[in-house]
Amino acid sequence: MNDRSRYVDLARSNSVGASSVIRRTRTNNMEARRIKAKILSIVLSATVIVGSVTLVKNAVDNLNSPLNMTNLSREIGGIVNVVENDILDIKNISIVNQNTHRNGDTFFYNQEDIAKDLLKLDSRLFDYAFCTVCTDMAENINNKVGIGGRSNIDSVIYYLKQYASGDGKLASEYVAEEFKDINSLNEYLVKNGYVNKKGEPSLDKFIEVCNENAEIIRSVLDGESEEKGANLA
Amino acid sequence: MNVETTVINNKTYIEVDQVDIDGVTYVYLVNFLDDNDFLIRKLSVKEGNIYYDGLKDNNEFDKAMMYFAKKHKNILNNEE
Repeated sequence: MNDRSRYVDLARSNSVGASSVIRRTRTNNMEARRIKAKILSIVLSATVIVGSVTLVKNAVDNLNSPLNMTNLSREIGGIVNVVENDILDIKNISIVNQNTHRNGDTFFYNQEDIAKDLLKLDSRLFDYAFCTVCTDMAENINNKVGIGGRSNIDSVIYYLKQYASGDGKLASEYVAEEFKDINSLNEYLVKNGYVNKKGEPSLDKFIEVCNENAEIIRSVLDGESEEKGANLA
Repeated sequence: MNVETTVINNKTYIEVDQVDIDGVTYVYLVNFLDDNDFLIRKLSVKEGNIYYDGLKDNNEFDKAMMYFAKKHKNILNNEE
């Protein structure tokens, strides 16, 4: 995990659950330039939570929109939770965050469980959910920490192929076909036409297309929620 | 430019901004000496005193971050 992620993690741990203390302040003078630098630091840290700088700009513009990718990512994660847990315990945590673990100061993704959670979803949600996994991993997406030196996302793809084409309950004809002859995110992006003007694989293009389909995803999620509610009634 | 400074955990922080979200005022504090060391607190009033309160959970932290980024998004125009 890079430095920016570490700073966010420290800020998070120093902010969440902090004790209540009386606010005692002094007024000081500081150059506007220095204050701007401090503001920028926080804004850049928001990229760790959302993704690239582009995503932050897009995300903040749609902050209150129910079609915001961060919101939908969490709802999709909440559906995965519902599959195995009491509906009253939904925390609406994204798939990536559910499968982020800590070992001392090191954070790591359980790529296998991320893949398994993706395969638990209705196939209509898969493409969008896979996109949210990419965005939630942010700059850690290409860290080569997987078995065989695979990156985080390529490791997820490895397990997706393994389980999708197997005989177990996670088998998925759709996903198996989607990743047939595909072993990396870049190959997936090119295969599906998510490329820039130079024909190079473009995650931004993938995200852009997914955002265009957000309303459809919204309707599928609403349908999933109704079905889960009916089954639990 | 005038700023409010405070000491938290034996370190001096500057209140760089406050943002109101759903009726709650969030304060964003950055270490005077280290721009990468920052915290978020909520303000509350009890018995006439203003308090810095911690955030409830990670979701609240993320939300506070995004609202801050929303308010200052134009600063990103120089970062792409």
